[in-house]
Amino acid sequence: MNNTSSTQAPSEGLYAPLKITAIYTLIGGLWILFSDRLLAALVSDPETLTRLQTFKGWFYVIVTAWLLYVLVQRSTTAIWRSGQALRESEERCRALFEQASDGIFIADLQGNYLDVNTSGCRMLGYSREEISQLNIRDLIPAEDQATALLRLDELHAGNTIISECQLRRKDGTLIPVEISAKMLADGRLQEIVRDITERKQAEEALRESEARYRSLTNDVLDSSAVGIFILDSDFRIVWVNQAMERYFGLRRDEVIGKDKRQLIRERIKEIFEEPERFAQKVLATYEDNTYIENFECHVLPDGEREERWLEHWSQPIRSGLYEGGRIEHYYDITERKRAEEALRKSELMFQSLIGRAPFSIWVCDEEGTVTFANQAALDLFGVTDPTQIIGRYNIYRDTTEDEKPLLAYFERAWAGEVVRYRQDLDMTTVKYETACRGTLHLYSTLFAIPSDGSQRSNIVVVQEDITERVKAEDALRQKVKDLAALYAASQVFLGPIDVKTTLETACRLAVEHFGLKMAWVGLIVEGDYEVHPAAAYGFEDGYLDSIRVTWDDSPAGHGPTGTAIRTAQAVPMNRIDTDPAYKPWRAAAMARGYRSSAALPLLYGEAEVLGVLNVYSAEPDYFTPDRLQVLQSLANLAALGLQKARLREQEQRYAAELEQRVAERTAELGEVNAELESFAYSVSHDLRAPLRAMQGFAQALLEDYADRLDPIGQEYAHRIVAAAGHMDTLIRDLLSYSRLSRAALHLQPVSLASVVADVLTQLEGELRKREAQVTVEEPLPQVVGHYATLIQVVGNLLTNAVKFVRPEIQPQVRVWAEEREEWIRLWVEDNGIGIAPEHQERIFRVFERLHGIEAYPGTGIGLAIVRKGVERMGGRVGVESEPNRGSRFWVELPKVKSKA
Amino acid sequence: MNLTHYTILLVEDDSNDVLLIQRAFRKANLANPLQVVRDGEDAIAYLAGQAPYTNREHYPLPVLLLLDLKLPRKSGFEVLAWLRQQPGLKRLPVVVLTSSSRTADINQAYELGANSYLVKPVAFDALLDMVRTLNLYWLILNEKPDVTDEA
Repeated sequence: MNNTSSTQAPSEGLYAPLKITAIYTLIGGLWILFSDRLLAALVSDPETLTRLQTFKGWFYVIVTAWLLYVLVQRSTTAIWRSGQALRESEERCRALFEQASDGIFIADLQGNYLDVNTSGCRMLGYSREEISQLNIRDLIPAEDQATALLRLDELHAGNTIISECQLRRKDGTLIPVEISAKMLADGRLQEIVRDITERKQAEEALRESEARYRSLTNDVLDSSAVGIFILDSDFRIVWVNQAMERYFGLRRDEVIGKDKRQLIRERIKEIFEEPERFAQKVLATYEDNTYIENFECHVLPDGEREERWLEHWSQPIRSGLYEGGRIEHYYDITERKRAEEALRKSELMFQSLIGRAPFSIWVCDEEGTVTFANQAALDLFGVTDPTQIIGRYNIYRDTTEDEKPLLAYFERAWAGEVVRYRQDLDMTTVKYETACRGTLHLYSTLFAIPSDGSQRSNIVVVQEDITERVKAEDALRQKVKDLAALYAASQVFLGPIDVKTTLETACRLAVEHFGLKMAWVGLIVEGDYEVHPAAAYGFEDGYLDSIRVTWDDSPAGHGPTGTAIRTAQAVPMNRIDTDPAYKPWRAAAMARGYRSSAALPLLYGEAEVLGVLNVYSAEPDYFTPDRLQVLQSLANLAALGLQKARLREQEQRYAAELEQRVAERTAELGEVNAELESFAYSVSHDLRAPLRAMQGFAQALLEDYADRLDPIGQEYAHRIVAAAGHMDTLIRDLLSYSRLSRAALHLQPVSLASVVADVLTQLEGELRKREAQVTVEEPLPQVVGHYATLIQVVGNLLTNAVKFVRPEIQPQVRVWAEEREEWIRLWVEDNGIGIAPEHQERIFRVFERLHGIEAYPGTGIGLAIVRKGVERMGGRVGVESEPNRGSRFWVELPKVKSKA
Repeated sequence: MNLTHYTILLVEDDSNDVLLIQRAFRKANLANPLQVVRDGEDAIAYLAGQAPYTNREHYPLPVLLLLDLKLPRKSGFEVLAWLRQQPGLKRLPVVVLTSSSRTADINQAYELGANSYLVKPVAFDALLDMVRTLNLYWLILNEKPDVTDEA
């Protein structure tokens, strides 16, 4: 109220008192007029009325007095106050003058300084007195003086001039200042000088910052790979960068200044895939520009514009020039998107791989807890709820006692090894419902994969269900065993064994290979329907004696055996206890622990049944088709063996018969031989005796009674002697020949040299008589032969060589030996009468002579003996000769093989 | 020692052979008495000193036995076998003189203890040579063992 009254113009202040007086007068007038009337109306009592009128009167006076007081007080106070205010204002003015941070200089119109404040002094470094000596021109440097002076004129005109220039300080430095000069009412010049050093610096800084900013925006931001829209608070596009142009295919000058909303509406369909979604999202931010928006969008290609994936990221601008606006970033995430796509595909493939892999894959973390199991793994163990296992099953905590060895494998895997092992699990003990109810065979591979920096890596377990394979292997192994057994059986059956052994072996092999309780073979006999056991093996305990088996139509013929024989097929009897066909023999069988049996016909060829192999097991249902097949093979082999044994037995019988016959023949021959031997002996012995007599007595006659015999008589006696002698030689030679034919010669190395020497000694007399000259050329090697026989041979040859020589010629015999490969050829060459070619074969026969006895004595057996003897020694004889050219007889005998 | 009276006992059944041998002895100028028996039994009787050969004055023990093999009654082998069993007689030198040249006979003879085996030659001259050699070897050269009648 004070302020308003002191600043009011006087003319205006005049109105106020007028108004007040007018109002007072009005109100008073009215009061006076109407108060009496009111009272009179209200109060009827004249006393009260008078009193009230008095009161009214006094009331009126009080009120008027109060109003008067208030007014007078007010005006005096106002006058005092304004006087005070004026003083205060003066003081303040002065204080302000002094305390102003800006320098205030007062100068006259010529520019001489009249007054200056403290700041001004400080600013320039002068004292007040110094300044009061100076002129404006002193402080303004030369370059600015022109402008300063020009401006003085303007000041005269009454304007306030604000200019910037520099002032020289006392120390000579220049400071930039802003001078606000004004002509005061009293004609003085007032200069408010502000030190704008800081401002200048700030301006400089701003310029720099602006330049940086510009550089930032123009160079850096402009060329950044992020498309940027800067929108003002009306969402008009204020600034965009080059990337924006590139990404959206819009030109900068097209969009700057445009309302972004409009731009969106116009261009969006051709730029984006799903333009509605884009529009909706972005426009929503303009509606409510308070939050950060972030989404992905897909820019379609068009000519130069490439297809891109962009990430929109925008936020409100909260401060600065464009406060209330929005900044939008578009990041090119095409690569990322592509990478994501590739990753997704790879992820998908990986998932498929893991998920659809036909083997189990488990992953355990470094503590042994299962963190992953693929579908195959879960299916294998019949796990329907994966959460039961994943994250919960721990190998240290949850494995059973017999699974503990697995822990060692895990440790090895953590140590870096790739562990492979086989597991055979008994699935009947596992608590999950698995498909496999027997034994599950797994082949597991354990290895570690690096995890993200934690102390131990993860372990991957790959398990392959090899149950089928194991089953196949087991089946194969069984097959191999079966085949080996059958092979062994075949080796036995086809070997040299008799019927009984064959059948017993069949039973034994069946029992041993299959672990049966008993097996027996029954043979079929022609004309008999009963099957008789021929061999058995195993725990029989009189069973075969107690039963009767046939193959006729009776109940005894309708068991497995009979059926097998009639049908030539294997007949199993897997439930002895219940099958009605086995009734006749059930009790006996059960008593001995037989629970199943089979009858295998011994099939020879295609359809010939020789007998039946019956087998018994202590297990019911033992004879599966597989086993029956093997047993049938065995039975067939046995049939083969049986036939073979039978044939062999027959053969043996024949052979025995033959041998017997041969033995008989040999005995006969031996007898004949012996007879011949004794005959020859008799011949020689008995024939010789008369010869001795003939010869002896004829000679006695000649010697003792020569004087009583005339020449003819003497000649007769001579002839008797000669004849006897001749017969003796004949007999001797014949004996020799016959002995050669019969005797078995033991051949051994014989020295030809010794033989020849011995012969020469034996024939010494004869050789001398004939004056024969025998030359033996050494060396005479060894031959394989018989000594005595060789003596005979060589003797006969030499005798002949000397004998068959013309009487007047001196026999000359040459003996030498020749090596001919494996043979030694002994030559006996003479200078005798020779042998014509047509006779060269005959002379080796018995009794063949080419000359009369008179001409050359001899029995005609000599060369026959030579040939026989040499042949018995395994050699050959021959002769090379021509009549009158001598003969060369040769004898070939085997060379002694040197052992060296 | 009077060699001329060493008796030789000939066991031979063939009379021709006996004659011839005797002639050979004559021709060889052997003075030794030659006793002849005609069969195996006789031979044994003689050697055993049994009748009719009990008189050792007339039938002295021989110093050499010439034994044929093919004999009636008992064969030469049997005689030989018997002889070698007699304590006093067993050392008596025996020369088998036979027509058999069979190896079996030769072996058997030696087996049974014959001292020598000769085959009767057909030619008389050979027989004569043989007798001479027999004399020279068995009667003159050879050292005789003691032979007695001891039972």
